[in-house]
Amino acid sequence: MRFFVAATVAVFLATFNLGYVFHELVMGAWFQEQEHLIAREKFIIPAIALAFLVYSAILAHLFPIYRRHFGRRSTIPLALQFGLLMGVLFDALQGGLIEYATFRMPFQAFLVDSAYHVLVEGTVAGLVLAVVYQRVVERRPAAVRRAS
Amino acid sequence: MNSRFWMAAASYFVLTFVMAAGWHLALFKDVYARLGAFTRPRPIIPLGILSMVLQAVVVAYLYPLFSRGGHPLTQGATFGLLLGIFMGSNAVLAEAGKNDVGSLPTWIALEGVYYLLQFTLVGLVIGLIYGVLP
Repeated sequence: MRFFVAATVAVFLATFNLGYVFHELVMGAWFQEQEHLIAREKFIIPAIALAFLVYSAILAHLFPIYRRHFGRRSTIPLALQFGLLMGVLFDALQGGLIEYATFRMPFQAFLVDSAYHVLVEGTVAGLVLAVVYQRVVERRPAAVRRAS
Repeated sequence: MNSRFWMAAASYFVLTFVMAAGWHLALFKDVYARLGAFTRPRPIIPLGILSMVLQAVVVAYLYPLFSRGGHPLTQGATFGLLLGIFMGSNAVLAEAGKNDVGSLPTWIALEGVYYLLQFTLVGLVIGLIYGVLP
């Protein structure tokens, strides 16, 4: 439970804030120009935040199961692999390809957005999961880990 | 990649295709048209199919990693429901927060129910394939 809460909060804070920096501060003007046919004038931030919270909570729930499946392998590469895989599922395929296929979204906007969500967000989420897992789970004595 | 993997992937693809097309292009076609959410005049069907094929492969790969040996139907439904919430959070909530999707309550209810139903059903079938087939 400690890992789940800590990882949910940490992944949410990292990915949501990084998303704001990328989509608003760095690429905001470009996205506005590309997506003016479909985008709202003002985003509904609570809906987007809730989506990120769900994303973070499900990654935090599934990662320990994924981690245990691979036994003695190192946590960081596994977490990166997990972050990228879930990023592909979450954004490149569902939020990316399907969105491009149904909304009037320019192809380059789909590519940049999906590349960000998979490569940057997936990597960051994986790294955060790995760090929290190492600090909360792997540092505990084996007997305590087995008991929980 | 054993036969169960391919059967799970094929089931995912067929069920998702039938449900997605039935829900969006037949059952609730008029509601979606009134919402005006899908702004592309004609959806790019081959891209939808490509996305389903890739999702099918990823989901069929992931299921055995997360299955913990309980009853196949319970395991499958739980996995499917989690995936539905995961994918739906992006495709329903984030999409509505970003894009103009018409009436927000109608969009969230209609797409939300679709994601939960579709993934739970797919999860049940994948659970049965991995849990019952030899």
